[in-house]
Amino acid sequence: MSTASVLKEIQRNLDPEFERLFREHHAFVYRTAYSITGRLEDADDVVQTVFLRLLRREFPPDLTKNPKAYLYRAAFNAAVSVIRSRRRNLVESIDGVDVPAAPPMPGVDEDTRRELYDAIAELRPTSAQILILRYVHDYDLAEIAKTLGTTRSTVAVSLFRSRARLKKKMRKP
Amino acid sequence: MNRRTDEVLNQFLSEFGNPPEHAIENSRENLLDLFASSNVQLLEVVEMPVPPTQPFRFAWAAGMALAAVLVSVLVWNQGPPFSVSTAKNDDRTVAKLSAEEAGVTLPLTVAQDAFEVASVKLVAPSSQAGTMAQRFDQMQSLLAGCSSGYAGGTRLDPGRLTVPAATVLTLVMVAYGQDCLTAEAGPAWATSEHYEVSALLPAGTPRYTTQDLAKGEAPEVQRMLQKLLADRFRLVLKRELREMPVYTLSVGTPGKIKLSPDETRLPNVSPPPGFPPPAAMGRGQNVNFVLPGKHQLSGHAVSMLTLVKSLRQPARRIVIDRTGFSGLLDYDLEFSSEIPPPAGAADPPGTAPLPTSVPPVPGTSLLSLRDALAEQLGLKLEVAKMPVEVLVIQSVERPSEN
Repeated sequence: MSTASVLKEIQRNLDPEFERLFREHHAFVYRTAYSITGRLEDADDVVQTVFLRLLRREFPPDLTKNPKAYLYRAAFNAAVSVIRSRRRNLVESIDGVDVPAAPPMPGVDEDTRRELYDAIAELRPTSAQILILRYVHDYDLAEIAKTLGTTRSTVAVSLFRSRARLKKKMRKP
Repeated sequence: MNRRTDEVLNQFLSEFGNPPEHAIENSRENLLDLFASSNVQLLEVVEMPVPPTQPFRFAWAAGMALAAVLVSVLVWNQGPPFSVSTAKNDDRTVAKLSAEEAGVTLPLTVAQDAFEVASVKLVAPSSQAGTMAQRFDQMQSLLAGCSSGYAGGTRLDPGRLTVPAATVLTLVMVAYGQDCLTAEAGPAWATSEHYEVSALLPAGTPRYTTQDLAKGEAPEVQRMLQKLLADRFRLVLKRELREMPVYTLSVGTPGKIKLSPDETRLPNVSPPPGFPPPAAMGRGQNVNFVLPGKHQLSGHAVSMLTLVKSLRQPARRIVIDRTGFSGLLDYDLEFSSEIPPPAGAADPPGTAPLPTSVPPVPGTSLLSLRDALAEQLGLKLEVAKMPVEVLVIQSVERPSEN
């Protein structure tokens, strides 16, 4: 039996509603997680955590109402937990051998990149969420406002302040 | 300046949430497989070719390249990339046992910690992963004096354990931190059939690295593996104390071991052809090379236990620390692959045969391990017989279909 056919057979047993949800939103959750953690391995971990929770429980009403907004919040919270846990385990990470890093970014050196990831993790949760929805998921101000249940002008001000904070961080020696 | 900052920030923001497409694709497929398995409580044995993971491929490529020069394996830190540790072979488990206790069976309890989800699949022997695993077993046999105990490609990532191909005996050794010399298989298939294990760790499991698991220093994960073996393979083990030939390491010439100075240093070793020169070693690091006919071990500010663990493979026996040295030491040892017995002393019966297929390096006269230890560190390696705790597989079954 080939790998493909085995997988196909197994997947027949997966709840079709869950599978649809997973396929539709996987990349969205993955990108959200990656934008916060900056590591592929952590992003994988976050996606797994978010969907495994759904698989284990009934779909909550919030999810049915607005799946994207629900999954976004879940991914964001799980990613922040990863960051906190990473800080707690800082010594282990230094000693460890397998810390998959993000691919290099042209034009942004590694130190700056790492500092900016840290700076985003330090922003207020709502500010970080707005930043991610704008730059990672290409949402416009109105879409962000709708997703987070706020106003367009609040989103605009938050974006401006977040950018200013990041720039300040970059200017520090 | 302000403009440059804006440019860099814009560059970062346009890229920071864009992981490579292949990473997203891989994640989706792996998780679909995993969730589907979890949903149907996948316990069945599925015979399917298993594509090797990246580290496995690397290890295999390294193995092939080095096989071309007979037996050469690059070994970082504690032995080969995943040789089972000798964590239990120190004074705590061996020296305190009296000779009268040999032959005694000790109680053994199975932990109740469990993986959140786990799948066990038989690896087809003719598959790429199966073939590689067999070759790794052969290599391990040649290097360590006993087969099994080498789970090439094993990865312990946050939240997940992946073993691409390992025998039941190897899984037992990983789960119990046992050396291959002190684990005894049951039926023949327990050392010939390879299984792939994929498992999710429950939330809250402490983060360990693959190296931690290899060194037998990931107790929570090891307990979960013990439970998996008991549940899926109906594994029943017993511990026995048996008299075995070992080496003891003691101080022969006092004053030769010196405390490691506080500095970074380069290891004084030459890597095999095709491998990059080792970088500067931080404190607490060690590298081991196995080259045709010779071993090179280098350590910087490491404990005596680390040295003793590194000696396990070239000595092909368990080494017991009797030095009483509690500080951190530096060493650069180079010695021939064989350990000639001291004049007039025959190896005790049951000793693993010395490697005969590793020829000495032509034109060189390397010291033996025993002489290198005496000359550089003033340490004495002696043959001894001691009661050692051996893990014996009493009964085991192939994982049944669910």
